[in-house]
Amino acid sequence: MTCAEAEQLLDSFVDAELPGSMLLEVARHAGSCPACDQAVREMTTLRESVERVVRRQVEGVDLSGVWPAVERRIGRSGTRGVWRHVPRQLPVWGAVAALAAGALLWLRTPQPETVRVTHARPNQAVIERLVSSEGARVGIMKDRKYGTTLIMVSAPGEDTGQ
Amino acid sequence: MAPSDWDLVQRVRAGNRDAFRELVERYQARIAALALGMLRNREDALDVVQETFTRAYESLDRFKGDATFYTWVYRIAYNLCLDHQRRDAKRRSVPLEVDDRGEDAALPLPDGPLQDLPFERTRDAEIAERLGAAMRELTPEHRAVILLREVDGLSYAEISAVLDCPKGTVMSRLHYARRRLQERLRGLL
Repeated sequence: MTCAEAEQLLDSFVDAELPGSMLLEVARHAGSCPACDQAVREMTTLRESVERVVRRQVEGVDLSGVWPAVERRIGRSGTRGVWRHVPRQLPVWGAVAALAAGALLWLRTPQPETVRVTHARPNQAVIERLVSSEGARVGIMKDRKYGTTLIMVSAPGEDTGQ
Repeated sequence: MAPSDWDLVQRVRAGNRDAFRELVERYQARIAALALGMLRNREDALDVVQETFTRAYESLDRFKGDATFYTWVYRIAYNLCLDHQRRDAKRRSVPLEVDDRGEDAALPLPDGPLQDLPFERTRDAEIAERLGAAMRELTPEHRAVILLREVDGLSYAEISAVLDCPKGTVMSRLHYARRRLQERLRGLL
């Protein structure tokens, strides 16, 4: 892989939006190319800075009044929208047909799958450089829970120091 | 174990308003981050957060569960931010904070360990200021992509769903926005 090719993939690489084999290709290249390695580090630093700055700003905002305000607003608006669109005088035959159709749909529609909250951390590629005496190695681990991809690059011919 | 978003949505549909409160409290900080980053005005951002959840409640029956609840709510918030900016284009908005030079300044840092580290605090404040200025130069669409990706960690597919644009557009906007921010923060990061 050339630097130009790696540069094209840099955003998708740090966002872990590449297939595993491509992630490995870019990681291998960055592991042996100081310029691309630096580019990866700069992009990682940028995203960390953006996140830190915006989160600090939000921490300075008092959100305790949000729910009371929302509750007041939805209290004023009455019931939810769908009910407001129901005609006030539904013909009897219409109501019966609607009930029958609804019952049929309910029986045929599978229950939606439970949506799990798995967004505790952003999707991201975490690049961990390991030093090994066993030659260069690149490995990928995907943490399904947090959506984090860990890319391990070991440099060849160096001691572990451990 | 905390109930899933879908469980809470079902409870709200059954008339449980407390379940909606739980959804609001679960996502209000994330929606606030998007609104604050988009609008750069605390009062406007809070108004968008409240309006977002009000509209979500009123149209909850249209939420089919084929998207995640938070991407659906994000989409409402994003559209409200755009509406707000269109209205603001006609009237001058009050910036987040104004420093002596008449430019937006970063919000004060919260209390914490950084207060004991003057260098870190000063550097962070400078990054915040430069970043704020650089973000303002971006179009709302580019700003939204950066916020949804870097702050909320949404995938390209999720951002595409929130912004209602192709995944390729998300990628090109993200690439452009990152390069612009890097240029503005050069020498500081």
